[in-house]
Amino acid sequence: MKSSTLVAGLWLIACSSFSWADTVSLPVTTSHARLIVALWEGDIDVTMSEGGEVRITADCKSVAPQAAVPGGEFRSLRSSATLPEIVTSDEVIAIRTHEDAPRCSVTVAVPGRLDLHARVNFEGSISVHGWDGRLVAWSASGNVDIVDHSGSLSVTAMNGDATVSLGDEGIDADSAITSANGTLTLTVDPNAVPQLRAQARWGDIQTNLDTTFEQVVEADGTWFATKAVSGDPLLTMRNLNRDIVIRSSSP
Amino acid sequence: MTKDTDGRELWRDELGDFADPVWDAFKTADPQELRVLQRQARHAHWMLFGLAASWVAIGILLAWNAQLRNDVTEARTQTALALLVAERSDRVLAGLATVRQLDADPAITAALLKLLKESDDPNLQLEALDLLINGALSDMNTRRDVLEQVRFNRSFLERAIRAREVRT
Repeated sequence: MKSSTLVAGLWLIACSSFSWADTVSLPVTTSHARLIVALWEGDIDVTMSEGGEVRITADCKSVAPQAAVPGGEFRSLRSSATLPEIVTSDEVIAIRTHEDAPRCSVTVAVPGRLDLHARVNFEGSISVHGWDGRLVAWSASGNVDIVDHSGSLSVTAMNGDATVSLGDEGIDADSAITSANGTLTLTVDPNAVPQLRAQARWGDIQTNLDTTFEQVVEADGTWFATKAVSGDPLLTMRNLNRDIVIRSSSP
Repeated sequence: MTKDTDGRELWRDELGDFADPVWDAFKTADPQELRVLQRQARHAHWMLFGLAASWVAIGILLAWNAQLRNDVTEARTQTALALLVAERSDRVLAGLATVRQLDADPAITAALLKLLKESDDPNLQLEALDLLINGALSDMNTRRDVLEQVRFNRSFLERAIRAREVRT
């Protein structure tokens, strides 16, 4: 193989795996109430940060594959359409890619307390660390990891593991976690255990919490629930096909 | 000789001249005893009256209690309906938890169907589905028609229904 052919081949391989990482910073005002991150395919990673800006880093694969075009015509190695769309209004900051868009990994660092709505419509994971606020997260296929969360949440891993650990304060309003084909794991502080209600249609329910669970047979199936305390938020857990594990954060 | 005369003779043998006053005194005891019985009868009458009044009072209290329960149920139904259309998931979940404690209501059923069709949060849809599946969606044709109108996560809901059917 001639060296020029080898170089051209390597260049094509490099182009086909070419990715582009951009960072955008947006000021956050007190009127901003909600952050929406909705991807067709890719991973979402959200953390809390210092400062007064939302920092969005998007790492999107280019349009691929890019076959050589005869005659030396230009071909697109990277299209702006591959970057997520960022829309801001007075109340909402929205980051999204539309149906059939290439895979994007989006990392968002957010100061302050916003409602977060993270969604992956086709395939990809969601990871949220140290979030203090309301959270809705679901992935059609991929794991959802929520670490050290404070505030209410609605988490769904339609085809993956749902792993949630609550902070010292636990949840402050009714919440729910669902997993379909992965393990649902909840870790709670033993001093901030909310009302728990769990249903696993096929799998086991395991816990090391020092809390009594009662079996409750309802029209829609059998649940295992802790004693209801008026005013305490209720956390509902469902697993359609696999296990639910409820852990104490203290050994 | 009558029984009364026999008795008086016996007393006379024992008590001499005191027999007649003592006997008469005993004779007056009978009417006194009758008067006591009459007073007891009057007392029983008041008891019956009190008992009837108590039953009336209990009836009023029960009716009041039923009215209060209806008012509370109505208030909870209205609260649940308001929560079911809230934008925040935690509020909708609170509304769904309230609906679990209420009897079937057409307005609630309509709100649950709307939630199932229009929400993009799978947790809310699953909870609504749980509440509907043995009621408004127990009929297979209705279930299929409703699922066709679901805007988001339809295949996920269909998988959830299959998981339920296989299990049950």
